[in-house]
Amino acid sequence: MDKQKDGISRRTFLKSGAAAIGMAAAGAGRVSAEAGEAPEALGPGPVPCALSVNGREVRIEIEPRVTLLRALRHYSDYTGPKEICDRGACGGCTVLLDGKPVASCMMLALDAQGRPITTVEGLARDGKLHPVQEAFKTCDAYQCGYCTPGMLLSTVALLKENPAPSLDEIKRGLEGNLCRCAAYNHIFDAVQMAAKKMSASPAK
Amino acid sequence: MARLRLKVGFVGGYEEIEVDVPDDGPVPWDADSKLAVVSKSHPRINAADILTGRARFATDIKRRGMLYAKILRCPYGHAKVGRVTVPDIAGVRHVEKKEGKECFFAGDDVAIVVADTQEIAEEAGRRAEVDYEILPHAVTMEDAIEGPGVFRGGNRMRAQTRDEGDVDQGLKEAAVVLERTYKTQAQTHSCLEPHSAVAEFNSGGVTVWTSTQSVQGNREQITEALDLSAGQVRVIAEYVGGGFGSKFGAQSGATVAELSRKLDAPVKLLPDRAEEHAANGNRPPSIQKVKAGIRKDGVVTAWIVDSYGSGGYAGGGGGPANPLKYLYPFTNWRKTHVDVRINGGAALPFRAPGHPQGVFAIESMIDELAARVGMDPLEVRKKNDTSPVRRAQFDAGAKRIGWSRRAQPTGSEQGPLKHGIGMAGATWGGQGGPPAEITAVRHADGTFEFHSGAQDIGTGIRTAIAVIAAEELGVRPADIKVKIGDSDLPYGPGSGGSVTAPSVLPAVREAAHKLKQEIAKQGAGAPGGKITVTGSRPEDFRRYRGGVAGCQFAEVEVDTETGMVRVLKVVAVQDCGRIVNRLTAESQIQGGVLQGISYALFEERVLDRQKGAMLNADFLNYKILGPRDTPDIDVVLFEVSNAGNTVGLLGLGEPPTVPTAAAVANAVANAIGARIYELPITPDKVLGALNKI
Repeated sequence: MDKQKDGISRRTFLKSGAAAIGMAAAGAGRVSAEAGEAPEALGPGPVPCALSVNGREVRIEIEPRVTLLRALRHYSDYTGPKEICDRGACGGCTVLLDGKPVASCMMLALDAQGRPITTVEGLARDGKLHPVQEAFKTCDAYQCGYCTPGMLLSTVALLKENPAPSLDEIKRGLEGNLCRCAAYNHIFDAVQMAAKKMSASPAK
Repeated sequence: MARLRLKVGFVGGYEEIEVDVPDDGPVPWDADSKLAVVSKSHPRINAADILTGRARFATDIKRRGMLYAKILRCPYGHAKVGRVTVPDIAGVRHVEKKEGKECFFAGDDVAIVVADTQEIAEEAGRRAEVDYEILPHAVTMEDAIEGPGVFRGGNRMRAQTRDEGDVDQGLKEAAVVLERTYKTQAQTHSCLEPHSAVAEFNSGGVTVWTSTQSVQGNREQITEALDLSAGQVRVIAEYVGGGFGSKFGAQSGATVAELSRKLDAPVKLLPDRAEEHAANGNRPPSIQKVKAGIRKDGVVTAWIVDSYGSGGYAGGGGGPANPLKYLYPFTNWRKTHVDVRINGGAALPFRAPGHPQGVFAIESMIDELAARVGMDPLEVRKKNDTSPVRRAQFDAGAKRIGWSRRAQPTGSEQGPLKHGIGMAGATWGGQGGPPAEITAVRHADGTFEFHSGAQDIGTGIRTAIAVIAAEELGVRPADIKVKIGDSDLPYGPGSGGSVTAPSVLPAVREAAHKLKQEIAKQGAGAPGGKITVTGSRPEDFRRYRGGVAGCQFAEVEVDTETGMVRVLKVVAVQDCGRIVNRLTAESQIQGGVLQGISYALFEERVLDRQKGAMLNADFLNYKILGPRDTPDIDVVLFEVSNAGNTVGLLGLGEPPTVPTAAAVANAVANAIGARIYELPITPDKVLGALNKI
């Protein structure tokens, strides 16, 4: 089953405001309607949460309302993903979940348990930059660097889906990521450079 | 002093000037200098930190026992705060209320809550109950100008008039006189990193990590705000997630510093996106009524502008740069400006303050005047613009864009998709000066380190320091360690006015030169202990020209059925002085152009006339330019050997965003044969101009 359907989506959570806090307290949000299981009471106080971040298990205690982004930034030490718009509109909080890019500000940390998460901290291996990082460096594909973690992960995901994207496909692939300094032209150069390098020597 | 002859100017326009420079300083670079490192492309020396998430922004700082502050903000344009009730939630540690305060904009602070976690602070804020006495407001300049007084002392501030020559005589000499009104919107800075801060007090004083464009300016402001003594405040901004002019003030830093002192714990402030939009700065809106006359030969004879601008509730600083004397030295001109108070967040300096809005009006009008006397708008510019640099740039840009391809007559292309080309010229100051201090160290192991109290808000100044040092010392930029973004380091300027590079880098060259001399003194045989020297930014000597010349050409496609405008290409010809790092120079220009397109087509702070709140205080409804809106940008780095200092460089932060909106507006007019007088150029305005709605 799609786990997202079972969990409290952040949107309904925000909409119902204070009422949702009461619901979470009653555990209503975690009920699997199809299965008709008994409600599991969670929160509102901190509960254990186990996340798998960059291949490491991270055990934290968080209130059920804590987003995946805040769990990473505030409750563990992964400050790579950034909180910028907090509404899934800018891509700054992008992480890979099950290998796919998600806005970590738009989901609850508890719903990410048991699923592999990759943050920008997990891209370089053994002190060696990922080819996408290398290309960003060579092309100066950033200015202030605040959108860069999200931009890198969206690029990694794009190249996995489409190893040789056209310029238009790159623009579409990165459409969810905003860069206020507007380093886009150099970012496009970097994505093309990374695509070439990665197809020349595919990852093991 | 030594007298030297330097070759200055640009390809096709070189000349020699004589300058006097100190005997023991580095020999100034000129047009003939052969440099090994400077002007090449260099990846940033701190690239790995940016790319791996190791870079620490203020928002990333965590301290043991840290508390989180949340500001509660007024939802009305103008209201008096009554009773404030913050619910008693476990984890709330401290509440400060501003009961009785008169709030002058939606976003003004009403209370502050400090709690164990960001979630608890936010919940307390959300559930707080505040009584307001709602007062009359005016959120548009039109309402403030025409409507009843909302501010004590009136909504309109005193008119300021300046003039030169005789405008009445100028109008008499004109073959054509036009009167037009141009309007520009309020644009928020929308830095991706909010105005955040963390403060931690200890016995010796306070350390503040904050997202600022001026660590040393913030240190002074916080010292004063908290009534501390010099040396008790240290401000750190190792990385800054954009500033664009909005991050000079120390409000965030001072707020958390005060709370940290009171609560004896580190305190963090993380404003959210809505707060950033409503309360943390904007480019002020403008209304510019221009009356101008032109002779049949294309010479502008008179320029009269009545302008309004609004710095928000605070008033002041709202003026558009119109006319721009250092763009067109008109003989007869008069300007009357009135700043208007509205119930909106305070304007803050925004990348070339006043210039994009002024140039939008000026360059739109120049195009209209040219059309009325049947001249090529580029020829009219050459008639009135005396800068030899820009005149050369006009030709370079026209060739690159294919100026002769533009629609003639305007709007004549058949079919619903219409293409157009337009251009605009621009200017800026930004050549820096003293003071700026550098400490340079050669460690015993032979490695080099350079220290400056400046900060990098994304321009790449860290790498530029390494480039200049490497050139002088004969090593690679990657061999230079650079420490910046800490108020304890030697004096560095705030990152504003495009002065950081031209202020700091000549000091770097001085320091590197001294270091080289010291190393030479030690002799080749010496083991080489640690050597420390300092360098200062010397006063300027004679330079080739003042001003930073540039021009841009835009090509657009307008869908006349939907009103959508797409920018297809921009040619940006930019005076760069001496390029320090080709790669980051390109980045600055591309970013400036794209922010200009975003201003021209998309961005607008919308305040609700009913309640006064900002209606689009997020990134869903406040649109900033994204990947799919990004056109091809042909950056022409127009090098000008400028002298003035030993490096001969300019700052590039602001100049490239000055002409973009005007060039896009002129291109749209060329495409559709009708002019849009108000930014942003949204589909409704395009269809309106075509009489389709």
